Amino acid sequence: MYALEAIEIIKVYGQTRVLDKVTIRVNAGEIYGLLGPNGAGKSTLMEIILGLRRQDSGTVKIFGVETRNRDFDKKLVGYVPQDHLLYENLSGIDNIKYFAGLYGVPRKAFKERLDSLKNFLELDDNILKKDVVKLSGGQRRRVALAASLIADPKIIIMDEPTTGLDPNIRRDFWRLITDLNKEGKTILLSTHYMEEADELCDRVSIIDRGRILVTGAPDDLKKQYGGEESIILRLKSRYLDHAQMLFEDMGGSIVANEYIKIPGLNEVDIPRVKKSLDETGIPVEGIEVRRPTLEDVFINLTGRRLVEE
Amino acid sequence: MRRILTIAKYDTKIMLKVKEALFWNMAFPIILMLLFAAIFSGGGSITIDIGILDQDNTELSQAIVDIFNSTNVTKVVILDSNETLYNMLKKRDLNAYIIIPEGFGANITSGRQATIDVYIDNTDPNTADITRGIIQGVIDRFNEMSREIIEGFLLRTGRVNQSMIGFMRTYAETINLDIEPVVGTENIQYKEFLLTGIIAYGFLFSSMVSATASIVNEKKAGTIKRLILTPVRPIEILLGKTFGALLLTLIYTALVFAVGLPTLQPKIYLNIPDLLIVVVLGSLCGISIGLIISALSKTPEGASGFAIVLGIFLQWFIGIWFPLELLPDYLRILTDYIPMKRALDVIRGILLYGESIALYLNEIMYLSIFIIIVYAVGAAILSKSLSTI
Repeated sequence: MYALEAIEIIKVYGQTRVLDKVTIRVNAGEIYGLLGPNGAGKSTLMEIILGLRRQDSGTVKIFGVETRNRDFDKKLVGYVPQDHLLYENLSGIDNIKYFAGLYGVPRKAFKERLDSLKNFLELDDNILKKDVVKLSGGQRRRVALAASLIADPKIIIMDEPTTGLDPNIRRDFWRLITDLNKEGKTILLSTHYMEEADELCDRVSIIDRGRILVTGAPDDLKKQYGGEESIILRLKSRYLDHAQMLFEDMGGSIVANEYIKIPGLNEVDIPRVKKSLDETGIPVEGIEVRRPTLEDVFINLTGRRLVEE
Repeated sequence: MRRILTIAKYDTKIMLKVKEALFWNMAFPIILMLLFAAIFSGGGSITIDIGILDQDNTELSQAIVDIFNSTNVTKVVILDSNETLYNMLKKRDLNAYIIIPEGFGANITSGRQATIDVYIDNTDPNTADITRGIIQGVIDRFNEMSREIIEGFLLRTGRVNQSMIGFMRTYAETINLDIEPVVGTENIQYKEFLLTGIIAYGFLFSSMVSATASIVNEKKAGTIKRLILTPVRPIEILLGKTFGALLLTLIYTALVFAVGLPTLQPKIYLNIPDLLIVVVLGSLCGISIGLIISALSKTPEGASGFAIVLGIFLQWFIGIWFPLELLPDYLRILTDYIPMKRALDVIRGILLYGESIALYLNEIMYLSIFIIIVYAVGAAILSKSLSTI
């Protein structure tokens, strides 16, 4: 049995099909990513899975029970929204108590759970006593996460959980997600950060314009759709043409008028490339090996970047 | 039930922590109450100058003069010339004058219709209304007393004996005085009127506006998503929010009394159980309207704005600040359909006249039916919209 299944989901707004027969199947205990640009349909799919929106057709099941079913236990699912969605005029602890009350968490269990979450999320009393409006972005995310986890859900659905966080806090958050997964939580997260999907997810579905393009482990997707490794040469712009001629028969080309890309080469080939440049007197500013990323997968599948400039 | 109480508890907590809302919904009306009481009560009652020309000069005509003298709202001047009275009225030295014509007492004692003439300075319609009310009050009191006065008078003057009194009681009609029909106002000071009126302000703002804001703010902030995702049913969310707004109104009412009683020292009958029932009903009327506004508005801003404007508008038509008798007839008839006005009528009956809520069964029925219908419609629409975003 899958922890979560969304089968053949269709959602139409006016003339636009924002989700077109989307199917995802999340195994218990895995971190599953939905990777796609803004407007791809990730949030709509998340909201349909959560029951916040109604699909035009298709089925959502959590541990085999349809979410529309009266028997469905909402306590199984925790939600971490993109914008923290806390009561700003309440303190952090009041927010957590409020949701504990709504989920019907017994007092004793609440105390134990809160202590464990405080420890896990590094939430001290000082943070928890402050009104949410006075907390930093990272602190709000932690409180929001605590509010989502207080009922001890089996599946946690995270909608772009690190959008807007600075890189250091984002890395901290990644660690928390990994730790939660180690505790046995199944996690479905949507993101438009390919590093996030790459770093965290066991499997990823790449979604664009309401359709799932591919699904698989990040390494498998990169191998299959990401293209070859390549060497990137960073040179002063006046040497770009000369260098391109030098590596033309190896497939070298100028990319974005910024650097030379020589496909099919890796670390082993760096001395050979360096020697050729030295012999022709072209000074090198930087040389690196570039491995395919999920961004490359997306570009190769759609012809567009994940995050448009 | 635990979920409903949890929502009510934290909803109230949120509302009490929003300082701006707290000021406008709770502190502002109480400040206005104290301010208006200070301005318009002047530490005592309104004094109306009334001139009396007693052409009858009997025990009965003297009884009317005595009643005017016994009120603390009139200053009576006894004069002997119609012309002097008219000139004083013209110069605005008097608010009204009364002529008790010769034969007044005789007419009453012989069972004929008695007449007194009343002339009122109508320059200031508000004062004229108050003057009419006071004179009507005196006449009403005279009517109540007159039978005993007449009996005493007839016995003392030897015109009848004790055995005839019993016979008279069976046929004597209530004395009619031919006086211009006037709007009656009781002898109530403005501070009492205001203290009772300001309670109904809570029905508009602590109940109606707060209930609207509580729902639409959840939509605006997106927190409604989180509520929907919990095991709480939409009707539980609405009941929780209803209890929250009700609690807020009760806190507000308690605050009105906590500030109003020591500062204004009003003469009221503090019948808490009856008052509590009416406050709950009045508050539920406001909350029901709030639900309908939240349900029908397309945007959160539109809903909040409409509720506030409606509250500001309605406060002038439910009798918070001035007697509705001052309104033109067509408006006064319309105000009778506003449930909060009905609730305020009952509150004033309880607090100002010491009446029991049992005397207001029609009003209670009206309020209850209004709440059931409007709340049910609002809850039905909102529950549907709260099942998804």
